[in-house]
Amino acid sequence: MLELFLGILTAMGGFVEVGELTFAVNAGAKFGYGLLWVAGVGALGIIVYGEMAGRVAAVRGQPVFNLIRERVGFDAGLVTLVAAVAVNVLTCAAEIGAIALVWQLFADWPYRAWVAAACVFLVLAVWVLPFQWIERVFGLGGLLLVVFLVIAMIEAPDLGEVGAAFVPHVPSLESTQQYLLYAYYAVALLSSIMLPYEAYFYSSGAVEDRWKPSDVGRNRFIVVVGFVLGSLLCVALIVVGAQFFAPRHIEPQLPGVVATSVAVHFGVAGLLIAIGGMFFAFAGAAIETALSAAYGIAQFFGWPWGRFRPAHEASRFTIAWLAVFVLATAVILTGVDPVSVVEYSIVFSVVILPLSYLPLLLVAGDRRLMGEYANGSVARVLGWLYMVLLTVAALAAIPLLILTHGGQG
Amino acid sequence: MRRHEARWVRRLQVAVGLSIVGALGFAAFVAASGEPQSTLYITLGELRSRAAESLEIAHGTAASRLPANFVRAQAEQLAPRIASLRDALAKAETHEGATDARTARPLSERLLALMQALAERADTPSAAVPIERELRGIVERLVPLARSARPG
Repeated sequence: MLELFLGILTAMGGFVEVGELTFAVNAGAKFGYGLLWVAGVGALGIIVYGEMAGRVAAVRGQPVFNLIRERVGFDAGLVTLVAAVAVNVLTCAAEIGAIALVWQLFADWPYRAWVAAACVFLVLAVWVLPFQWIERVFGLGGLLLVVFLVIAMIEAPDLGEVGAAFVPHVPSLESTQQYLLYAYYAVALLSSIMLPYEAYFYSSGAVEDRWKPSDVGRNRFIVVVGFVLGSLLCVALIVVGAQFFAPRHIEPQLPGVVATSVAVHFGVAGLLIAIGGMFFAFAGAAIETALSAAYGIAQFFGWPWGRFRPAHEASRFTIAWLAVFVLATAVILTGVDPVSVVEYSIVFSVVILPLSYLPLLLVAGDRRLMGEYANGSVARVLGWLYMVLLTVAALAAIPLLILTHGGQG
Repeated sequence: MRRHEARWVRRLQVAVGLSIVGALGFAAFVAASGEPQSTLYITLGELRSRAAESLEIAHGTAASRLPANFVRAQAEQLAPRIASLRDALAKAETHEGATDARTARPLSERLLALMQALAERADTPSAAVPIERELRGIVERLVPLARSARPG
């Protein structure tokens, strides 16, 4: 029971990362509740595919990249792998940059020194902590972000209006450029909620934790409850954007600015809680992306992998996650704005979503492989609906990025 | 069956690749053929947001709810962003929307100076009060400017 409870809290606390924080708050600041329905659609999507990833890992003992190689072959699989690793490095870089921005709020070190310190901290955390502790420390620490749920309630939104906004719709906007920006934010918000590393990490984690077919029920419960609660955080961030930042004409880019919405109500203590939650959320996401990239590479090439093995037994896997941290840190040390890296990582993530999820959908629905645990009619219909939706989003993502001048307008 | 799946994944990869190439080609075509679309409204919108963020920080400092180091760090993180907007406005003064750019650039200069002043006096909440007042004035000038510059 405790395991289940911790699993749910971890899934909830690990739901938000810097891309989601940025896009959710800005979605609210720019379009009010106009994009709340995307949060609902995204939450259902990550539940559908997260559940499939966990179920396949529990029944077959196979994580996502094993399936990709097995189902689509080496050549087509390699393209997906390269794209996924590139996106993971970019996402990891964004998280490291965001950690440095957060740490800088407490001490007068130069930004680049904090970036290097963040890299050392993350490497040590992965090296020292057992897998379950990595999940728990950062997942549970990320729960501090619940303070934004409290702020969303204090800001007293019209609940009827909030509820109505969950029905998919397109609000009336001023110009074609505004509609394009709205579409860009819809795609980016969907991507930030359904980030592909979440499925890679979740399924690899299930194998690390040695799940068996008897864990399928637990998987379903954790995914549904944990991700629904996690998506509530995303909804809260949109509401805070609409209720707090929009009237102040702020479209925040920096984590510290987002935290001022908490300081207004709870002073310095609230500010510390918000920033603490951001730190754990960003650090957890950085670790998950680095490990996800290493999992993907090792699984695809059939190397021994997993944090449950000593480093010397999975040396290539260990080198891979160390290399991701170093590469991501190097990207940020070039001086590129971490906020821009966040935007690009989110948009490029959506491009690889259908490529990653299609093999998963096919295996999860294959009765010969999954037996009684194969997709039922609900999972099958939702899985294919989301595959169509993600494909459309993947095709539209880069054109929208260009047409909206990098999502600026 | 698996060959069939591989073919579908390849088609998906090609389609995504084509959408990227097509979008880049379109952007290159637009850039090469005639006047590029004005993006001054984006610069003005961003400057308005950075000014409003600065105001929020000054307000929090004056109310003693933000630690001094937080204020200094926020000022430091905002400064290069405001400076790059100021530079963009300086360029725009000679090209597009020259009047709006000429109005906004001094405001961006003043915004930078005020944030520096706020960082230097972050330990003294009372010193933030006049800075907050002036920042409010800047935001009030930038809001209509950014709104009127928006297309459509």
